[in-house]
Amino acid sequence: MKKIISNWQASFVAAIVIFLAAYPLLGPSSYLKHLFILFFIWSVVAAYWNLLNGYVGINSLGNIGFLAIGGYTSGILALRFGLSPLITIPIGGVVTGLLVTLFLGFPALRLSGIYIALLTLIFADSLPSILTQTRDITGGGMGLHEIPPFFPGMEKVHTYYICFVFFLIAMLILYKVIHSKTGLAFVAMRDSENLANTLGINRYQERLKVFAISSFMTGIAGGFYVHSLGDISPTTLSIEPFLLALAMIELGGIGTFFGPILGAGVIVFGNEFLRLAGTLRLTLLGALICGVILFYPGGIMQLVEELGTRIKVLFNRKKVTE
Amino acid sequence: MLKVDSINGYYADLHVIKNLSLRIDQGEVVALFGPNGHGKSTLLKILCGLQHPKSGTILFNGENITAYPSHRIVELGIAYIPEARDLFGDMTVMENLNLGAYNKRARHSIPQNLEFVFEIFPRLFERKNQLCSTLSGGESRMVAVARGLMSEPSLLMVDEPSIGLSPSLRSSVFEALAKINREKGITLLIVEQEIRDALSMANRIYMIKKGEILFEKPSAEVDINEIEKAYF
Repeated sequence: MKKIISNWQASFVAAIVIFLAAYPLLGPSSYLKHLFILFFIWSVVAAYWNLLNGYVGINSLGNIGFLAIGGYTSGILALRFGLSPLITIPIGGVVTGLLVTLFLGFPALRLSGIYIALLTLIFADSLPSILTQTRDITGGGMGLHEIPPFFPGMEKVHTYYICFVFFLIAMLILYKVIHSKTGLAFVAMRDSENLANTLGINRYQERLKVFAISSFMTGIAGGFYVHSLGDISPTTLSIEPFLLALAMIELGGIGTFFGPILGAGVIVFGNEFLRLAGTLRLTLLGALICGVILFYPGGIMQLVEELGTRIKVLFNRKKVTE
Repeated sequence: MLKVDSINGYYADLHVIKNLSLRIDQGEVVALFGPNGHGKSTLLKILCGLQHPKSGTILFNGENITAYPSHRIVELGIAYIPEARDLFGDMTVMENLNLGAYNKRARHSIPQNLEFVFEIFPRLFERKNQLCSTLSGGESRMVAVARGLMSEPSLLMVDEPSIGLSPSLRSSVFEALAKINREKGITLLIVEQEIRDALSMANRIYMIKKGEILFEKPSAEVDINEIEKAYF
């Protein structure tokens, strides 16, 4: 019992993973499975966005663009050249990594703070016009449709498991990165760049590294996105998904590992269930975000940690009185 | 080992280091005294590459490091320990120490260096998994010095190691520094306001005033009144 309580977070995570693995066996509707698929993909996007913003302190506003580049690359290759998504998704990741490192990583070496935010925002914002101008390849404003799934003739439940495994692997990689020396260096640069430099951390190298990691993984997520959903269009780059993705990070807790995942859960499911509220949907979500920022600036993770210490205190008190 | 030749340095627009030259020999302990705001910390920042001098040269083991960025200077073996509590508060003691060994040279000898660090500061071993933001002032200084040692330096530059510490903690920090010099042969450059403590362990001192070296002497020949006079 004591072990379960002291490791309550680990136990909780294990329970959630088991639940997610067993969930399709409960026979949920195709619609619910679809929501979970969205949750898996957006979690990865938000988590790797958080790596840039929360862990390294680079204010990127362009990660939706990374998703789009990866998605479009993989979608075009599969649709126009008939390649298997197993090949096109990694290619999409590599292309995204290269483009982003080249167009954002290198310029960002000389920029800081708000200027990086502007650069990345412009990068993501320029993509819709590029996409509409290249109709022959990208499908223009209509986007790409009937993008082949991972395997021909597969069902929703297969897509669910493929995305679930991708989600687990992506989170495992992120966890490893954060807890490696590189991850420590990232946080050190965020907290004090000068101090980090005097410890032998090369800021240029680390910044390129984080742009490469974040964009590669987000590009891969883009591949999973298009092959799961079957289509992508410039509306993916519109203001709503962009703000929702940022809200996932803020709501969950910026700079924490589990925050963006929790935030993605709340936003993906909340956004769908609030469709019942019609046009009030975004207002309600906005109110929720305002509330969290006002009362829990550390996001849901702050709430979780407070609850955690209370449980511990309660448990210890019981032991003393016994 | 370190040879600084007539450097000029600025703090924003202020000309705080004026034509300053000094040298530090292998294995020495050199203390740098001087009133606040007369360029001591700026000098250390220039030596570790956080700032660059407008003119002059800095040679380290014969290599011209004047224009090197700080991460390269660390790799060559100069460690800089900044003033006060410059730790990463959200990381544990162990993580802070690991960051100290970030450069390629020191990565290979982490276990040996850790052993030495824990031998000098046994208290850090007890607290290795504690968050740095929860440490006391003395423990924070220990982590800062230990983190510097993890980079396996041949020259350790310490900015006011005793600032804000009680007299007993102060002497234990100085004892630790003396041990580092004695057992590992690491050259030390110490900036200090606690003149007596620093004087007792230094081989040589530099007195800096208004960005210039006022005098340089072996510590045995120093009259403490002379230093105190120079402060005013």
